[in-house]
Amino acid sequence: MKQSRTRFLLRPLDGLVVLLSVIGVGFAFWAVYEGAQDNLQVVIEASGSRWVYPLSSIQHLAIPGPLGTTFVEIHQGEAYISDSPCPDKLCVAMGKLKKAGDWAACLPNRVFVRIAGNVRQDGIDASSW
Amino acid sequence: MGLMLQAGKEKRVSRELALLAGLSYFLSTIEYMIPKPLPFIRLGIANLALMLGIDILSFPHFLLLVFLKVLGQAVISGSLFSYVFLFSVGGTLSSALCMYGLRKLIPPSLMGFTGISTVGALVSNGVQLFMARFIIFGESALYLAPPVLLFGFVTGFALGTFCEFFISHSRWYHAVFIKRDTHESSSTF
Repeated sequence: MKQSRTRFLLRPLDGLVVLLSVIGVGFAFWAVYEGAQDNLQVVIEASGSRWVYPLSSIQHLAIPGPLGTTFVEIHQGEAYISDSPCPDKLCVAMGKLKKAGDWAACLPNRVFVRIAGNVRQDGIDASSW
Repeated sequence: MGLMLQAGKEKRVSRELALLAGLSYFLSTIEYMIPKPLPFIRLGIANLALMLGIDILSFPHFLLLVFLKVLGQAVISGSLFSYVFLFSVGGTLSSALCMYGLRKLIPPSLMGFTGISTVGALVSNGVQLFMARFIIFGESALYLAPPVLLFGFVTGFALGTFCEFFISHSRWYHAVFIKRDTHESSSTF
């Protein structure tokens, strides 16, 4: 019985895995979400297409997907998915996007909405080079 | 006599495989009942059956268990004929192979199921995010990565620690899988 209790402790490589995971996940948050907060744009990607609108504009957008139309509203510096033809409406429940790094996604209808700072309008990413 | 032993062993293996597959179906059902806040985020509790299977089953039987788990989950969630099934297969297969490899290559005194499960969860999430990048969302899939990986890390760690605890403390596990050689005909069922 005593032996089985000592077996339960974390082993050396378990600790290493945990340490590396914490560092990796922390880095992912930093690298993805720590963007410039000026010139905010709403980026919508769906079915291989990409739309970019200023967050300060007013838009009522109908985005086509395999299940039907996902409706995206941009209003008073906020963007959100107002309706989508998916069963669980997680994307609608994800609420309003306000700052760079905020996102909402409708997985079943394959629509992704996010806010980015300083997006270049030509759509070519610097990392493509 | 040898033939009888062989037949007995085969019967035992198929019984253990069926039991683990049944366990994964049961856990998948529990998992399906729990609402998820974000897409791709899942608890992965059915992987407990896979981790138990690593020590018990041969590699071909382990692969069969992986197949049964994926199939069972797809039937329970109704995603068998949707693209979600591809994600399920990709995530489960990659993480199962990683976990099997780690368990066989690294002595248990150096790495237990806590580390194995954490790696498995992150590999599964990583492969699914990679598939999301190329199949559905394009560049935006990157934005999914941090919360998905964070959740995968936490659930993978918790499940692995539970698995380690389960193996050393569960009487059911000991009765069914460990004392099988000494009490082959005992009434554990």
